[in-house]
Amino acid sequence: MTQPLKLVPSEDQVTLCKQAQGLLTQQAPVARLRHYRDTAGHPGSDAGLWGKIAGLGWIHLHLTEEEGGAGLPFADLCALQEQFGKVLAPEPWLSAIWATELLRRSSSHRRLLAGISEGLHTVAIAWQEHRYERTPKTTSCRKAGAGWHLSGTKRHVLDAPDAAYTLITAVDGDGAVRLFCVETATLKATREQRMDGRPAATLTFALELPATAEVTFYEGAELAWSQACDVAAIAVSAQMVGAAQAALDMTVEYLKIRQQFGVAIGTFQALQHRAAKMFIELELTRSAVIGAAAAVDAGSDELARYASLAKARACETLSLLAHEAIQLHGGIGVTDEHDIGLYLKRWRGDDALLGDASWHRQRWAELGGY
Amino acid sequence: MTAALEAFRTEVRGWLEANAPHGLRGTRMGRFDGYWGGRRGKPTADEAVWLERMLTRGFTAPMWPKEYGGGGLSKDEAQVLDQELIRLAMPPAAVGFGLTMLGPTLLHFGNAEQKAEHLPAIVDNRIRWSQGYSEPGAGSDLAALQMKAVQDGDEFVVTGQKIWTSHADKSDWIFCLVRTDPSAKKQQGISFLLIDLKSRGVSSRPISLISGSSPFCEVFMDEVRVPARNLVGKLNEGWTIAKALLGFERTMIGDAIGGQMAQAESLLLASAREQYGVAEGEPLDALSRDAIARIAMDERAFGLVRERIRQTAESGKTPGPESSITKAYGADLKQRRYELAMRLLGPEAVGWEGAPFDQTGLDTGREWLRARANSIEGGSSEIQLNVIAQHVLGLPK
Repeated sequence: MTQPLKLVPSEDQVTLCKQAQGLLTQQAPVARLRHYRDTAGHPGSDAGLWGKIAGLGWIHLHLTEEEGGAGLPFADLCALQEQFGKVLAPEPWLSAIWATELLRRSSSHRRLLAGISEGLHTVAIAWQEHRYERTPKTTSCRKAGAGWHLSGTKRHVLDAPDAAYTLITAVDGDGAVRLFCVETATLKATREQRMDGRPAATLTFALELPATAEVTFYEGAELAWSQACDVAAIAVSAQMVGAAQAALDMTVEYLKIRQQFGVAIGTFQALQHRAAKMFIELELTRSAVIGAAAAVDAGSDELARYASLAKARACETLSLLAHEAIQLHGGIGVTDEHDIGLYLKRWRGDDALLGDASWHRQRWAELGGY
Repeated sequence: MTAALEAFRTEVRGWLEANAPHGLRGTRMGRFDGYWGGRRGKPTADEAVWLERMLTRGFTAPMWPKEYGGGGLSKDEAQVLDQELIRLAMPPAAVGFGLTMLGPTLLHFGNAEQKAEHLPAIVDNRIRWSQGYSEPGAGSDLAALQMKAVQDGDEFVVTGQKIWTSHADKSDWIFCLVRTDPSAKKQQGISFLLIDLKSRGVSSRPISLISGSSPFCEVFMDEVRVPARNLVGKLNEGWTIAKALLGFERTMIGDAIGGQMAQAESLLLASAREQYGVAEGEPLDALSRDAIARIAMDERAFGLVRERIRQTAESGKTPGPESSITKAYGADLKQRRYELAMRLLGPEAVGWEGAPFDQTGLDTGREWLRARANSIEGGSSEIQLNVIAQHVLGLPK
């Protein structure tokens, strides 16, 4: 009999979230995204803020003390992600969590783990080739002398332009997945201009690497890669829940203050029902994400299904909430001046990260044997 | 999971292994498929034994105080008991609106005499209760109810009609909302009254639904005399009690749907495989797969939201407006599930009864029709959305 997952926040988690809200209210208003976008050559995120985050010990708070972390639940890290999602923070959270999940399973690159945790190094994950398939097909590696030859192209690599290191997935001659860690400066990086403003690049490379560039894993690359992707999918889902919550909050506030026909438009039942449906979908999705985070903490053997549940629902919910938020804001909602449009653009970007809703439904079905 | 709770699980598991009648194991269908009791109840031999044994532990009302025959369990212990019952697929030993709606309400609002009189009879399933809320002119606008109760010495004289009264024809007592002050603003002249259905002047008539049958009845009261001690709470202050009870009702409906949903994925999958001739282990067509996965995933999320509400709720408090989420979403989910089941079965689901239709097709058709009522009964989905908009999101009236 499986025990029910713990789905209510601890006092520690509540305190942590309040601390994050304080920091973000002061230093990370959503409006900064427009400033980054309109400033030529801006890296697209705030390295100073990222340093503060590292200094607070947040990047590795869920790692065990043995791994150099604080031994807190992954659920707490997800609660933090929600806070950063509310303000659409472009800092390299997803890449950091993803890399951390890989490296804590690694037998070769443990030292880099500490560098990421302390904010000394940022690391990008170069995996994507065709749509959402997690297994690389065209990026290949083959033994060359004592080392490796690695070549290929990776697309939409988040945080790549400015990350010190890049972790690259490749397929070897036997069709097995291997991972390599290289300095990003050795790759040809072409910066993407994305509608969500997130820093990302296409990476092209043909490298001769020493054997030590390969990241090896205690329980094999395939399992580590799969699990790290699932944990990352849950983290991005938590960010999306935060974004959806902010979109709902802004909308409810607007419905209360906007007057038409001599009354607040929030008195109209047609609009009340739309807002209520947004709330219901958000609560379902929040529960799915909290459940998925709890499944990580519980070491559930259903991690993959929970991750797909969280990401599928997060994609659909943030889509619904961002679209409805704009419609309920009316004309002001489609102006660049208003923040709500940034939430729609962020949804579009997050939707295309690590699998959209239909990709995850298909995966859920495959995991269920149909 | 604490050691004490684990010890409780071990003890309960052992007790159930020794005491759950073998004839009932594996027969659980849902939270409301069990023995409904009442004066006219006819339990099977196994049901009678099961009820008697569960009563020795107070397990028909696990969280109620022991003084009324309950089990005195914490909510975590009660959940463990529930899980262990599900593990053996045992049906509940007693079900009814006394356990799910009136009992929790009396625990909050009843006086000592009322608790002592009614709670033990609910716990041991001697008295079956029905709910007298809706009237022909008071559906979504429940506070417009007109059933009149006029005080006459130490009695009320009650006249009027209730509708959508589930199982009134099989019940012994009814809890009613009645108008005791016709001149007050509509929410302020309502009282909460317990009425014995044997009383002179009570009659009822069953209502048939589009699904061919239903538990619903109309109940007519013609100058029915009710002792004044059956008034719960204060005169003209029944609306607060009524709303608290609606919270219990919404939770009950959400739980009932959640309990049924747990098997949706496997049942839908079986239908799809059979209809499309796809062997076990082979992938289905993309459309069926997507549709089934969507229902299964929404079902899992629904289970998680209910579990989160359960863990958040403080033991013994009346459910807040968040119970509207489970009512509204649960109804929608069940309707979508049966729409999909019908689509997968196609022509095999258009039967009403008999050959050439098989039982799955016939049951699915009836359930699909019945599911239309899910978004109407117990407060329509529109009312639930009103509650969420105004009481959770704080939008203006």
